[in-house]
Amino acid sequence: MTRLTSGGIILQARMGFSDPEVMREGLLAVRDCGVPTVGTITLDSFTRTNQHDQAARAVAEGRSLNGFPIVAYGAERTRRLLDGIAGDSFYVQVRHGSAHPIPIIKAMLDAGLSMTEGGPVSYCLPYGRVPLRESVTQWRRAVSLLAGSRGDAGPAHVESFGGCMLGQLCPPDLLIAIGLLEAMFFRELGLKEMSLSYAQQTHPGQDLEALAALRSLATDLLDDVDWHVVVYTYMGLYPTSQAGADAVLQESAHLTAAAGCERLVVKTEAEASRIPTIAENVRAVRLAANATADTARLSAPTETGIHERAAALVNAVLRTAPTVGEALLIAFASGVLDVPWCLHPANANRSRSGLDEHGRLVWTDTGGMPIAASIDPRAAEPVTSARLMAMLAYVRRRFDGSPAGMGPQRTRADSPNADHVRMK
Amino acid sequence: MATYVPVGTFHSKGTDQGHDDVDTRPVVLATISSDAHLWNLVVLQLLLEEHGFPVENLGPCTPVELLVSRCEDIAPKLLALSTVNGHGVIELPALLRRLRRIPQLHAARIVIGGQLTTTGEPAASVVQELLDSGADRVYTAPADLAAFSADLEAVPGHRRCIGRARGRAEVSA
Repeated sequence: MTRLTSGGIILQARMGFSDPEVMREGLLAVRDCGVPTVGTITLDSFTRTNQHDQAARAVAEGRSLNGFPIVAYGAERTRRLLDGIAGDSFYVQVRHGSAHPIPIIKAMLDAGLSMTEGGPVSYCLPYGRVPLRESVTQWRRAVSLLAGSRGDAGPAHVESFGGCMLGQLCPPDLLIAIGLLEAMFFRELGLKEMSLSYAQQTHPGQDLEALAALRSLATDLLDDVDWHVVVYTYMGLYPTSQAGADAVLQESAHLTAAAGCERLVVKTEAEASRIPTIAENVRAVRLAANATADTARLSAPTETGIHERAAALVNAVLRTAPTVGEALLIAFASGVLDVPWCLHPANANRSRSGLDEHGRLVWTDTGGMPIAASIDPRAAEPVTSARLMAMLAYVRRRFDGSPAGMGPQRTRADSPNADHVRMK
Repeated sequence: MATYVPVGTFHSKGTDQGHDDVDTRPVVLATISSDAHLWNLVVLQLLLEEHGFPVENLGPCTPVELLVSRCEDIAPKLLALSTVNGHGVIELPALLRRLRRIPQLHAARIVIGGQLTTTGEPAASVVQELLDSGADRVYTAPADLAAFSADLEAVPGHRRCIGRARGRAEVSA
């Protein structure tokens, strides 16, 4: 049990504003909302891509960024923002999405913050074209900096974002394997506190199986460090109705509780169209906290071999090199790991995923990975843009179509692969 | 440089016997340098392939210099810029002016689509600024994907490839 999770589920909203006053107001609102929370400072896209001059110029021009430009503002301004907020009773995590995180890590440590997230694969492959080798090198330095930090920020904590790859349509076995491998990468660089993520996917029974597999493998593989599991409310195309958005959020809370996980990162009903407000975030945190008490609505865990396939992937990668960092490079170069649909030049992009007739996320083609596909690639229906949109929008359709308060009910129109769906 | 890799099922080569004069230059698909979103680019690549266009998909966080050099090399008839991170309103005007200075893009159709601000639907003035900066069309509403698709029929080289699906193995080599 970590200092972050001293009993009960801790809630977190992803929140980032470029105006420091609004950012402070947001952190205070989350801290004081009446349920146990971790605060978040989400950084803006210019800062993630190390375009700090652009961030500074935009702020000077009075533009609204999609997050907090921590490097452009510098440590002193960030410390002022955090004054009297962050501390032993309220931790604040810095979220970014950078394959070149050193300036961000230095800025957050200077400002007295030591919790962040990401990883050499999960913050590289889906997000751009930074060579994977460069990302591994940069993340090696970043994690070493964090592990060696002795400031007022307390012990460093890094969460692997591996369990959230692509946001949606990445099958659970690969999510689990990448998360575990990133955590082992953090450990080999001396980090003592870490967490493993998992994003709610399309089918609650499958998610329960996946979370049990993740916890079991983490127990075996990470026996000498402090770890916990953080669940993310669905990260793909979000329901557009209030009832649908609430229902998917509540299902993620049920999942977190039923799987015995320690932290939940929530989403709001505004996600479908814009950056949510502070009030929307606080409402989502409270709603999720209330829903963690109720796990009875969930279906039973499936038994589809997620544990075995995730273990096979991890073992196949670890066999290739003496360090996890090198092994990850070899694994992607040889296609032992292959993220479906992912365009990054370092990714084989031969694997493909889809939804089966039960709405479960499955492999239609595993490329060169040492696991079998659930559906024979030759029998899999061709994926058109309309069919891909239908799969991407399946959760939105499933929850928006359900009567308020009744939970998700499948109808023919909710069929996982219905390709008459209106395109977003 | 062989960078054209279809993601979809639709074979863009060998389906046009008798049309030797067909324009085989790829359409260029990209986003702004700060936008890490992937799915919009994957869906749009599939859609463009279904309309018969080879696609050069430059991927998330497209570096400006890469976008410029690929457009210089390809001289595409269509450049589609898709962005959903809310920074489009900040980055696109300067990027469009830069792109329009490239001789190989003088005659190209350049279209913009996505979520351009952090606050939802952009103001008319934002759209006008993008049009003034060099965009031919700006798609912002969710339903605009259908409009984008319909507009593709007027682009030279358009061939309806839907219904001519083959196994993905044939095109993913």
